[in-house]
Amino acid sequence: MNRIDERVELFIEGFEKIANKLDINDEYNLSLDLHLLKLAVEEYFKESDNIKIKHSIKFSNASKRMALTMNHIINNRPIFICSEADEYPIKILLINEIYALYLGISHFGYKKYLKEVNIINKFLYLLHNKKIDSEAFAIIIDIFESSYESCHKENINASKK
Amino acid sequence: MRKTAKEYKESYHNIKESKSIEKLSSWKLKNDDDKFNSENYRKNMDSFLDDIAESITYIEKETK
Repeated sequence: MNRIDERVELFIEGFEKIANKLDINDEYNLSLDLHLLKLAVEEYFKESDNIKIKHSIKFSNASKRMALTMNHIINNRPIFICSEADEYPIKILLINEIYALYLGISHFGYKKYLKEVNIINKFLYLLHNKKIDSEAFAIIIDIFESSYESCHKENINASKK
Repeated sequence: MRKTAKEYKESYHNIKESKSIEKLSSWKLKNDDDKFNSENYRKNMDSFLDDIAESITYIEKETK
């Protein structure tokens, strides 16, 4: 299996996991468009290639992978709501943003700051309300990380004093 | 009823084999993607599930 197909399959699993976790029942009839999902993954790899060439790097880091994943999922919006309800809960209205964030954030292993509700909500806000290119997004993630780490160091130093 | 991941994967392989999906792009992957490890990625997916769900619950409460 090539890298693109492998990634598409992982993202299909991600769709099932997040839909089950958020308890999204059949009422909203969510559907995953596989053509759009594949397109998002292809675009991810294309841009990843370009970034590596542009910056002369062999590997891109997790923040770039997270930003690229979120960006291309949100641009392609592969999840469709195939129902005509009068009102939709937030989890349905933001389902593509939640899915993009979930797939993006999973490029990281355990990071305490990424697990905080405030941070997750800020990322969701950015995905929903702002059109940000993936390089800018990667920088935002790096800033979150470095500011969290410096706060953490300050707290450790303060507790030693 | 929502399709399961298994059914989606089967559909994906069917449309891939019919080549309809290949027509979308003639681009072929040049570089391997970094140090990506699908097993680690799956584990990370599981570890972030609760946090994402907690955030959505929080937003839903705040917007009511």
